[in-house]
Amino acid sequence: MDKTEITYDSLCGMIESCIVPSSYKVLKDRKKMLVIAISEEVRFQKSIQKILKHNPEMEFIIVAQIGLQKVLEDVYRGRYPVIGWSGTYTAKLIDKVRKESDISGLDSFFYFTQHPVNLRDNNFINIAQYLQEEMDIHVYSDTVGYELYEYHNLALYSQGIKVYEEINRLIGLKFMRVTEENKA
Amino acid sequence: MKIGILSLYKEREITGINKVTVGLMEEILKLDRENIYIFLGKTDWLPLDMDYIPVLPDAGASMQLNYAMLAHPLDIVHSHYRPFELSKGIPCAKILTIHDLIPLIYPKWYGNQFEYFDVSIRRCAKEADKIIAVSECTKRDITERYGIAPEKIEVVYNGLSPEKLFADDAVGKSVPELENTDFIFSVSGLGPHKNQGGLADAFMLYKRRHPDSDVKLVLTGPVRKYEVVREILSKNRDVAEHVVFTGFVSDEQLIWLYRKAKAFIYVSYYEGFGLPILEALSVGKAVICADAASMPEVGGNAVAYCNPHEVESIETAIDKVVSDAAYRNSLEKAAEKQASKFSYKKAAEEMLWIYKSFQK
Repeated sequence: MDKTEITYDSLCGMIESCIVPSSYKVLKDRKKMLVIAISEEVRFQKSIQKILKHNPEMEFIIVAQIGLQKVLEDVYRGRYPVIGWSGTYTAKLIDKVRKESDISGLDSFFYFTQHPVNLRDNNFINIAQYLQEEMDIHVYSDTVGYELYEYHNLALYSQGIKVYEEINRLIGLKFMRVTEENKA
Repeated sequence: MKIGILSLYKEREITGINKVTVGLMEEILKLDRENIYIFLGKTDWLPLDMDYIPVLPDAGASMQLNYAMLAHPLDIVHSHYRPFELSKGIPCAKILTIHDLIPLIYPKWYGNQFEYFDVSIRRCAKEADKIIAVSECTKRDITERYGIAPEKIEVVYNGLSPEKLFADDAVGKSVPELENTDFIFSVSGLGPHKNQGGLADAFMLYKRRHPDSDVKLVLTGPVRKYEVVREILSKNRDVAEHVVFTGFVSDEQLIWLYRKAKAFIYVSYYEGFGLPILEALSVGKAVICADAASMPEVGGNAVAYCNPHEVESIETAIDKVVSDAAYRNSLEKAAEKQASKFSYKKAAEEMLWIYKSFQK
């Protein structure tokens, strides 16, 4: 086995090890969860329903795009605060959440996805990493109510991705140079 | 050759693009004993006996494969949907399957996917050595919107998967509340281009013109609280008496609905292929579908066509198929023969011919 193969597989394995399949049962030990609604309302509700099935007492703080804010306020009938946000979600939304709701006691951040590793979106990693470091929260994503995943050590996760991307880029540059030299 | 296959994300219920991957790869693996097929990403969720190469978690943009190809060299990478980037100097042929370019055609509805199609998929298409289009319509769209030469694009039609679900002896599982109901059937999707509003309007027009008809319209899919359904419900107060929204149904219930229905109707504004039309034809069902985009390629001369943009046209087609038993029977007779023109066995043979063209 040559070095490249070991390094590549090991790096992928390290990144993957930061995401652990979990069980919805663990959510009964969580109390307060920050959730971000992306555009798909039906799937968002399905994910929330699944969480409530295991923990009917869960307190949510919901962040949604302005256009979806009223819809979710109607759906949840004021039971959970719904904070409106415009544009790309960034870690700055935490300041707005702090102003418009009470985040004391927050112990988890949740994001739903079609597949288990979509937290690779840099904005969401930044939000989740900030919360994990500042408040020591659990970070979860679920595949629309089917499977739950927990992200451990987001700092290592995001660093691993950066290393992969940089190696990938350098390989691309090297082969681009080789191609240009051959043309010359 | 070593051929890498890239599909969509892991799913618990295999749908859409992943269904295409499963259907196609099952046949390719039966036919081809020479080449080695490897999946890009874990396969523990797929009913396919294939090894895999680990890949970086996907953020929804192009898959970056330089590093992966250096560590695990392949002769061909064939993506069934996701765009990927691979430097020119890396010796690996690139094939991309494109199913449709709907976000480019309807940006007002699919603005959040526009950039993905306009940048990531466009770039991958331009750099690909070969593009597979699932219909002549998609091929035309690729040529027109991406400026790609038609010679670079091959049309390989989809088939049915899993085939056993549509076998003659597959009766499916009943939906109890519909066992004693006469209905025409449609499968809903999430997108506005599916024209569920137009379908509901046309059906309600049919009911007003035929108050003695007991026929209902059954719509499956994720419709219950979706915006389109709210619009339908708000426009037509008595729609709930005549239109049944089932929500998601299992594959077994789906086949029962196809078989039980008086007819199947699909009046989308646009499709890259039109798989539900093929599914309905395969069980010998009379089909009403839109005379638009790729749908005539699937329906051929075996369906009743209508203009999806005109409620009157849809209503006329519904009336003719529901009221005229002889006409409906003639469509039923033609249905299975039309469906037999499409299969993943045929698609696999065509794909193997394309893969072989890259053999050194």
